[in-house]
Amino acid sequence: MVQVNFHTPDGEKISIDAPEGESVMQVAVQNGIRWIVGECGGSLMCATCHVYVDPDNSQRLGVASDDEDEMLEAAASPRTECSRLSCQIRLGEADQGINIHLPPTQR
Amino acid sequence: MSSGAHGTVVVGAGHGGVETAVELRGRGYDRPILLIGDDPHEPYQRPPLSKELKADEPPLLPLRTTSMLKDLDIEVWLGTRVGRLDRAARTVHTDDGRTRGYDHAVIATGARSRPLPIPGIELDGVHYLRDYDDARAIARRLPGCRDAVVIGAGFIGLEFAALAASVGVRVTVIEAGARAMGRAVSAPTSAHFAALHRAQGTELVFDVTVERIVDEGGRRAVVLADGRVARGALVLVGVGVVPNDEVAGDAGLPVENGVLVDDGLRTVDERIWAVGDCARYPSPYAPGTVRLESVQNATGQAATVAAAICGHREPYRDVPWFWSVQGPAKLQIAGLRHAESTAVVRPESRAGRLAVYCFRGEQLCAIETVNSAAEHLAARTAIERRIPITPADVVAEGFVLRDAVRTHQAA
Ligand SMILES: Cc1cc2nc3c(=O)[nH]c(=O)nc-3n(C[C@H](O)[C@H](O)[C@H](O)COP(=O)(O)OP(=O)(O)OC[C@H]3O[C@@H](n4cnc5c(N)ncnc54)[C@H](O)[C@@H]3O)c2cc1C
Ligand code: FES
Repeated sequence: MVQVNFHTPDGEKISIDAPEGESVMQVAVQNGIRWIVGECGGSLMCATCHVYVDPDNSQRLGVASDDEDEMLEAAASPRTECSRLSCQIRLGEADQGINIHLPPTQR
Repeated sequence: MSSGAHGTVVVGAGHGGVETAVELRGRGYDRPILLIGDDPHEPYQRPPLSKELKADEPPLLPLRTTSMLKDLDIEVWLGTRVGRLDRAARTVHTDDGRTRGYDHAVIATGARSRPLPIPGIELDGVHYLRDYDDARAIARRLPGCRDAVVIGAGFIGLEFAALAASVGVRVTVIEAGARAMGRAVSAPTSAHFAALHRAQGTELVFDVTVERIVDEGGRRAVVLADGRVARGALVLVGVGVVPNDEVAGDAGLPVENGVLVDDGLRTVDERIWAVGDCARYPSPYAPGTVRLESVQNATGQAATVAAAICGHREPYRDVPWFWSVQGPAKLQIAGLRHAESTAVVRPESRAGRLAVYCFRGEQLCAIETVNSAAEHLAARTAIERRIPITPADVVAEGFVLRDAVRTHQAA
């Protein structure tokens, strides 16, 4: 199990233990973290799974594919250097305790 | 909100039904919610069933976890079919003899595979693909299968064809119409995908119907109307769907290839609503009424109905969008195309990409893109805001949709 900490736009922290191999988007949607929509089910088609990865979890930064990069440009909330599409983050051991900040809007 | 213990009963636990229940709670609805579905599995996502295979098993990706539904106090009856809806008594009756009253009922019964009435359709090795059990039966047969025949070049048939070809299966696709996905996409997009499937080694046969399927000792022979025969260890039939509108129809609600609802998705009975594949509604993006088959349509409509049940009734006006994945190509469609619309291909220099703009007269009505997600997202805004884009704009040098949208929004 990998612990994922979601930080809502109003400062609440929600921690969820998720199986390795699941994407952060899946974990969020299945557990009702409503700031992540995941409309396309993780096919890299909708940009409604946009999140800000905490700078401390740098293993997940600067590694977006070209497709993801293009999609992030079109995300509804502003893009920063911490932006990722959470369907592209498959949880592994190295992500233990990862902090994910949720954007105010996805549409 | 009315008092009493009934609350809302949702019939059908697919994309639309589950989202309706969850959205109701998200909006603070505090009455009982009962979700009834005839599928025995925990509610799951359908799109991966024709796009992914995991070690001989299809992926079962839950829409929401059971524990989340429990936490939200949503009661779920799986493997349970609703046989009858009694509008006078305001009760829902299941085939296994249970009854529940409702203040509001939401019909989210989806659609089922359209049966192909030909001899041999019942043979072992002939499959439809709509639910998890269908996908599992196919996935179990696929290993060791050298060739397959797909009847129908629609989304499901072609997604399966790409998946099978990717694991080394020789696929033949038989289509009665003249082109791939002919009812859903423009001719240039059809041509793009036909070329892609052929490049994967798949044979596409157009303009011919299937007469019968014959068992040839373990292999299936699909006999065509012109006498040709296509052979495969597995046959997939993907000739469209039929809406599950019987529960509504039997209750005396108007149905017409789908449950008829108004622009706020309510039936003529003010306590009964319909969402998703089973609902036919007037869309601001097309003349007359439409019945759409997409995840976005089901979940968007679910949100509208949940809001209405909570007292915020508004017309449903989300821009329709859809996606399909076939091999290396991700197709996205924003808006609704019409049979008579004209297609303008945007000049494109990058390999593997395509953008087709569809116009009804001078009005942009749909944009089909391949491997161009950012352009698709801009397309949704362009269509929703009715941003004036002409066929001449599309072919002009240096045209970038996102810039056109931004310029218009700034103005
Ligand atoms: C293999 C496949 C791939 C797809 N790929 C895509 C894609 O890539 N992109 C996309 O946008 N869309 C895709 N779709 C379409 C999308 O899945 C549907 O549009 C969506 O599921 C519609 O949701 P729904 O809730 O209306 O119906 P469904 O998800 O079909 O749910 C309806 C449920 O109600 C149940 N039911 C019916 N009658 C009764 C009854 N009397 N009592 C109890 N339960 C009942 C049904 O068994 C079903 O479980 C795909 C569909 C399939 C089958
Ligand atoms: S879920 Fe759609 S892009 Fe991530």
